[in-house]
Amino acid sequence: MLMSVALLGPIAAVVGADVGHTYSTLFLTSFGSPFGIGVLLIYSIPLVLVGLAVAVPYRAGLFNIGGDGQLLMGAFTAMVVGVSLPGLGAIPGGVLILLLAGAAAGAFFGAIAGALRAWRGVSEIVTTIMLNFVALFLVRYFVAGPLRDPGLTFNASPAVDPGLRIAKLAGNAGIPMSALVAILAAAVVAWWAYRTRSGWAHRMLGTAPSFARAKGVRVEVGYFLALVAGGALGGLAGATELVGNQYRIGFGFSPGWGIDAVAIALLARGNPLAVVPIAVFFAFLRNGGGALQSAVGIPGTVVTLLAAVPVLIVAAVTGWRTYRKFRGEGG
Amino acid sequence: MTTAPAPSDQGGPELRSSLQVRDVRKHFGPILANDGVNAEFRLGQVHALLGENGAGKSTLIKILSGIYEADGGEILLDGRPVQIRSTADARASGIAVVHQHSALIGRLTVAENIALAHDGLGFPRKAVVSRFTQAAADLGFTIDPRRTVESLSVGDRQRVEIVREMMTAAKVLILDEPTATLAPSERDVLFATLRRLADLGSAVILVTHRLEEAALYCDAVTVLRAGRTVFEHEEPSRLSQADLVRAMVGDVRLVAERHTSPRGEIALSAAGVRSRGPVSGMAIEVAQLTVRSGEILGIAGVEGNGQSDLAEMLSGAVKPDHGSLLLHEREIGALPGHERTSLIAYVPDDESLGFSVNLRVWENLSAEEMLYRRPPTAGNKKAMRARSAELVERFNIRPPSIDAVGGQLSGGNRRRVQIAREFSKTPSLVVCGYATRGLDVQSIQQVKNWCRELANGGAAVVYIASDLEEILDLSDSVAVLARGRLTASRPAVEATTEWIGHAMLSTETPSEQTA
Repeated sequence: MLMSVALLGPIAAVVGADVGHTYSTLFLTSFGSPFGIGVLLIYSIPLVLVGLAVAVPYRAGLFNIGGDGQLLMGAFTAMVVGVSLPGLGAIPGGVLILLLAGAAAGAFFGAIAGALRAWRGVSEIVTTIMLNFVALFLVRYFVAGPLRDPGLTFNASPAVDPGLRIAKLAGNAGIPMSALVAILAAAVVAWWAYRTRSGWAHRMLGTAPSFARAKGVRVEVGYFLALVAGGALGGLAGATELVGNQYRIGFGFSPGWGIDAVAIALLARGNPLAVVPIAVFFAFLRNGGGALQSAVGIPGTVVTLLAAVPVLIVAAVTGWRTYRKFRGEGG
Repeated sequence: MTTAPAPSDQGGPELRSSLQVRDVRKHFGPILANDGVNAEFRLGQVHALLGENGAGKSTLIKILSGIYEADGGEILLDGRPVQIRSTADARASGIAVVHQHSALIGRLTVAENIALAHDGLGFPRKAVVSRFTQAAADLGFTIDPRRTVESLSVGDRQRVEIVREMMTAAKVLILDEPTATLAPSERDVLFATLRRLADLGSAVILVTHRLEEAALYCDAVTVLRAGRTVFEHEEPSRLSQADLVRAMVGDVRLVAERHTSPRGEIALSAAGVRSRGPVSGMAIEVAQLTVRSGEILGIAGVEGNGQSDLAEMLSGAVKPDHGSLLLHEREIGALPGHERTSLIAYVPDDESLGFSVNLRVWENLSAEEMLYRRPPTAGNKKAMRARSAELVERFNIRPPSIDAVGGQLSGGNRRRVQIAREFSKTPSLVVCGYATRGLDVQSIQQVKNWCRELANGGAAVVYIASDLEEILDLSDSVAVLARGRLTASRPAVEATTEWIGHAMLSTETPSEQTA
């Protein structure tokens, strides 16, 4: 990952920008002020949660590419619950109900892909990608139609009641308290993965499915639950983003977190604790990217592109090891 | 690569022209895969290379085709030594291999596949089409080269591969278990093709573990066992199958004295078991079987007769379709996971059922613990790691590290890890499916000793192996598995060569493929 940051210098030089200025902008955007740190965290939270949504099935050997769809469904369901039950805002902890509703909706989406994978052998990669579109257009239809906030000049849902939001400390772009949700989720997933019997069964399922089956692990149930859990985390990501940052759902609710999350989970090799710093790194690049565009004139996409460097390195290293192993067997 | 016409114009076979293998050796770590292999494959003959799995057939083929380099010995072509260091060398020497699994690209046409193999071009020229058609006609069949490979039958694909190799002017064609995936009718067609090929002047080497193929279709036979040539014969049609069985699985010594260890109550009992084999799809039948506590039952038989299927059922991993399979009066297939894993020690033939290359040694050793008994909390992990370290020590696992990843271990040590995990239980039933495969002689003896210890500790032991000596040396009683059917067991002292040989080759019920 350091490599990708290092690569930025030569790129800046090539496009004729001041290298020093490029780096200082990149770092100061995220770490130069409490405001910067707040924005970094706001970018990080959904990435951590969706990263976990990918990491959990990944540990069982499954690819959840449906993070975006689960996230949208989670946010949408939380919004519907929040808007249709305004009384919830008066109850302390009412926001938890929104988070749970979001997680449940995500889990439902995960369950569709999970059931098809487990009992019908349908590739979860295909189903989760397709379900992304189902979620996207379903939500678009509602926020542009029946659930559109009439007071707005653009297509978006009504905002959730202030009583149902998770606060940001120190003003509008301060430290988001919803970071606690992400940290707690990472901790719980890590505990489950490394300290429980079912976490172990899940790991065996991912690393040695025939061994697991031979020792009595119910493989189909395991695949199903892995995608249900992944979906729930994706839904939680959406609900958390809704109540912690955006409050309403517009057309651009997710900038593609579900896809970044795949890269994050791969780099973390499914380790829930490693998901956190890697997600923050991705947020750092995204956050800095915008600033570089306006302040230095380097296209923001260049920085996003740099996020691919560690992925490529990991892929190359894994490929090389596989090649070596293969050659090694040849005696 | 230059191509010559099909070998129809090479003239009649001369007895002097041959591929000779002299004292070829190859070791992998401590395992001697080839430990003095001798054979002479003559042009114009179909030659069977027989042997059980692990006898060294594959290693020899890989040496001849340039994938492995031999540690010692000589390869002579027409009397002149040749060096085969790469697959290109093998091709240049005229040696070609048709592997068990098709190496053709299904979406491409036959002609495109041929062109790809010969010139590396995806587009066949007319010459390729006509040469293929001609070569196929020489071998006595027609296949439209414009058809895609995936539209062909398995047998036709094999013939395409044979023609493809013959078009590269191969003089020696090796077929690795060509009949494994063929229906009986296709098998006959294949042998007709091979005979034609030999008549046209090629040496055909048929690698197989099916005795009847050697006896019925081949001009010469070489049998490998434990990496050595143990038997050669020029007229296999005159051999009895018992001769071949004896050559493949070893000489049967009569068991003079036998442990008359006090037997316990009946532990394992089977009645009326009929099932579609979960591994091979073969019909499996166990009419009646009992194994007492303290008894070791050896199951003999030529490999590929339903051994893995039987082991899977006995271990409780798969429930038979009909009949009962009881361990101390309880249906084995219905035991919940935690009981099954503590009551039954199972070393399966298929490594992936009991070992993971992705998990560390201590995780492989503690997999069942963590699934059913102790969640991997920090304290439990420490205890399990300590226990794993003991097992690594006691069972001689190399490298002696509990943190080594499974994939770093050699085949033999992977097996030791499984044996360590399973044999360190206090089981009621022990099921060994070729537990000693890949192990050296000393370790095989160790495994047998451990099995005896477990039996003395009160376990019923079912020991599946192909080596008769190994079985008779260890077992209290013997049963034979042939074509999916298990015979009644009899005491090892009464298990004569005649009885075992007869049971092994029993052809009363032809194998029913329900697949």
